[in-house]
Amino acid sequence: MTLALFYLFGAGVLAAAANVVFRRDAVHAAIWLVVCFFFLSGEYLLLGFPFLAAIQVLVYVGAIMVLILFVIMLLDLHGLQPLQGRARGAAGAGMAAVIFALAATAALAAPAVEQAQGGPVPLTALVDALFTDYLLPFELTSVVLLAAIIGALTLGRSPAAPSPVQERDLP
Amino acid sequence: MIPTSHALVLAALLFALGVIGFLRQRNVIMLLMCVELMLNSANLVFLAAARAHGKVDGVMMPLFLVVVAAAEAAVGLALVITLFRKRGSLDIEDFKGLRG
Repeated sequence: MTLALFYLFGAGVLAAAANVVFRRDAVHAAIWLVVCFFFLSGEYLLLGFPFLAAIQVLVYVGAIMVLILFVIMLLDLHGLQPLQGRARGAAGAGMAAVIFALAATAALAAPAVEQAQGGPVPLTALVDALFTDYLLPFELTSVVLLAAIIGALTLGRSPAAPSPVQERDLP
Repeated sequence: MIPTSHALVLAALLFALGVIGFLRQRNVIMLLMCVELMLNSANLVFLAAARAHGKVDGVMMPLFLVVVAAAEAAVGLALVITLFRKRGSLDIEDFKGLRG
């Protein structure tokens, strides 16, 4: 049952991703990417990581994709045609085929460590590790987010708008 | 029980699709979305490995990756908006200013 659902969701992930890759309309592609993320979170659930599945839906679908859709609609970009030269598409397909062949070979040739000590990781173990072994990276992510906020604000500010500092300096 | 290798093959397929999209699309926002696809395939690999070994370390990376992806989306979209303001286009073929 779990295995059948895994293949079903996997087919869903790949179909949605193919739609993202081969669509012309950016809005359609973004919606298909949302579908793809939902199927992926189903995969995480089946693998035994319900917390990651929830994070996937909340952060990717709820935050990142909404942001992307917002920008697409803000800039009103509907009809950019993809793939000018045939050579570029062929190069992409060839490179993808090489990458897939290498990765699949590695995946199938990897020694089977599973089933003996494998299994889903409980959430309590995750939280324990997050606040002990991984405390420094965890704190550093907040610095990364702060840098991203400042960078996005600086980049996104309209050049015509007066800077708040100058306004404050007025008598 | 899901075989780990099947999850890894699924992740490889997803990454390959992301590469095809990245080289095929011309819209900068579409390129960002294809990068998100590739990031997610990396997440899937980490989770499959975490499950195979029963260790917590493999779950940490997806957590941090999600944070990095959020930061990347924020800065990337701010760059997209700036580019659109300066050039009036989002076609990747229009941005050749660094070509020698």
